[in-house]
Amino acid sequence: MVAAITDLMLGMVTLLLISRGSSKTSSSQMAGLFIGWILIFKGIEYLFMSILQFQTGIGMVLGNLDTSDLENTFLSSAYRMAKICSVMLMCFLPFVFPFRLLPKEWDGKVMLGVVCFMSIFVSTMYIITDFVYFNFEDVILVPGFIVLICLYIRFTIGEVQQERQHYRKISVAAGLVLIALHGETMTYWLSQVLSINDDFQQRFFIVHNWRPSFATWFGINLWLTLGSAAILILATGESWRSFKIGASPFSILVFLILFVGLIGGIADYLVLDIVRSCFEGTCQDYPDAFNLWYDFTSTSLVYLYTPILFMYLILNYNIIETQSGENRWLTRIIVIMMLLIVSSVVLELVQSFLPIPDMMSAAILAIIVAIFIGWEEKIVDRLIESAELVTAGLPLPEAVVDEGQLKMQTFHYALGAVVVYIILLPALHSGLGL
Amino acid sequence: MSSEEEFGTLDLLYSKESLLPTSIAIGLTLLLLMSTTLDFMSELEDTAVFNAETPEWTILFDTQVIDLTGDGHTYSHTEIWGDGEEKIVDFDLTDLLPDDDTRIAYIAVSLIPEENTGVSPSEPDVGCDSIGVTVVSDNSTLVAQWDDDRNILQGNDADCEDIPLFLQAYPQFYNDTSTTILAKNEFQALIPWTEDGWGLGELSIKVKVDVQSYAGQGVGIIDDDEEITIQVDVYSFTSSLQE
Repeated sequence: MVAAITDLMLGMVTLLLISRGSSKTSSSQMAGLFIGWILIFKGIEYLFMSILQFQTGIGMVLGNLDTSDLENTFLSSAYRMAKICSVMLMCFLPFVFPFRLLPKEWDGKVMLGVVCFMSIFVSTMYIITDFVYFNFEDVILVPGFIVLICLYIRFTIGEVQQERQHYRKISVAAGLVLIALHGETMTYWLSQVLSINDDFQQRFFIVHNWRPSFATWFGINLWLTLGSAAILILATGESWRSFKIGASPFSILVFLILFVGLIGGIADYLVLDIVRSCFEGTCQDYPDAFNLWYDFTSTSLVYLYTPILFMYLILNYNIIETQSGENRWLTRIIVIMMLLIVSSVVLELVQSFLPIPDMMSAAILAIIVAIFIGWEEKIVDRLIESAELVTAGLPLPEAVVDEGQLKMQTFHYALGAVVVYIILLPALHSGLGL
Repeated sequence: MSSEEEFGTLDLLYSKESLLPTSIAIGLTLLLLMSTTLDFMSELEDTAVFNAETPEWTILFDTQVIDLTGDGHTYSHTEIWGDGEEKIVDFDLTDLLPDDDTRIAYIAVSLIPEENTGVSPSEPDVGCDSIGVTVVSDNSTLVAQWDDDRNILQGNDADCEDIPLFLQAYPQFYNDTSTTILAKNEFQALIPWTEDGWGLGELSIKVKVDVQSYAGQGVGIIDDDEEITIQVDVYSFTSSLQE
């Protein structure tokens, strides 16, 4: 629920700030629109998922669609449809950020049209087939993945070999988008390389009695492979760059995720007997420490750090006009709220295994609030002052930086209609008892 | 900067130097995808076969009273009621379970009037008092099957007999020693019998007494109060599997 509120709030504020500022380039305007709407669809997905999980438990959320109950059918269909829409938007984000790669005459209209059509078409097909092919939509992430990998490698090599330091912001931007889109699966890289994720998948399907289909399994495997490959490529690039030039904060972030995946892979290997127990005999529960590890790493990464990464991209690459007075004020509020939400969630996670009394955690939270209120102005000022367009200083053709033809309202109306559709269709579907 | 040539759109994606590393990276990604997909597919077939078969499981129940008093009862409470008096007696059932595998099945309550206990020689077996008893369900914190057909939530007696009450706590638990269920595996078979929370809360018993103080001609008024014992037996169960 915290993730849902965070994503919805950040998404709406992003769209609001984009609407207020005079957008600098069509590339940054479109990037902001895509990121804002990704956050909104993610927020809707997490909102429905958390309500469903609160009512029925995790099994109902992840297993087959249960059509026995009207409310459950609606919630589980709606959250899956929201996920499909966010994947469609994620697919096109690499085509507008860091660079606008498609011809400006038609790119906005085509991308918006494809996103809306595919969101409606795929989610309708899935709901008709009771979501037995769910997760196959991850296939659509492949083109964006290739674009980001190409950009990262091209500009890292350019920076190191041609000594063009200003290329660094491009490779970091591409890397951050990769982490934002594939962050969770990056933490499973060792398990994927060892090819033991299929055992976890099998346990999951058996425990939740989910009918496996080739499309679903392929989609999940592809999703895991893209994340694993991405972190290995980033880690190789950052190691080489660190050796030649020196480490940067982004290098440390990549090595941290690599390390988390390494420990996670070892932990996965150690619990393999427990994982296979469902298939071979009696299902055994995972050790508490194992669950706790994933609560703090993969789960936190997907639910909390992803929106923070998106917000960092928006602020650091000047996607929204943060310099104007009112936007600056709103930006400061976003930063304070993000820091508070993250602190309170981390405290709650710590409280789940350490017997800290409520009084103590409230006191710690109050201390954190005091520190943030003192520092947030400095943090925001530094972020805003160092903010620079990703295209600044690069000899780019006009097609990449020029204003686009697409109006912002068109984007909002079209995706707003998709939101209405993904709420109305499951309501109708569950209401008719199909 | 001035030495840089203007980028074309494709120049943004690769350069002469980056083409080979990019190709290797994408090639290795494809290789990883193919090898893991093969592995995934073999597991897919195994899982499909596994999930297609649904064996029948026998679930064995071990049911017993949670004995806190030492004489086979969970609680035993004795109190004196005055004529026309109505009292509510609360029993705390929130922390009774000895371990995580045990759950509360049902709750049996016996209301034993003084005349039937044999402990009060002062009161002869004449002129039984009228006793009304109810398990308070409104706003109760006790999590139970309040609408179950087998429940006996109220009783009356004026014949010096015990008044039995019954409250079903765990859903679908009918005091059988075993039952059968179709499930894919042990984990799923046991899911219906591993729900937490049932039977926990505060049990409230409302008792009203009208004392039959006139024992008849020649005997006259014998007393104006009544001693009643409430015995609460909380039955717990553990479940185990037999294929």
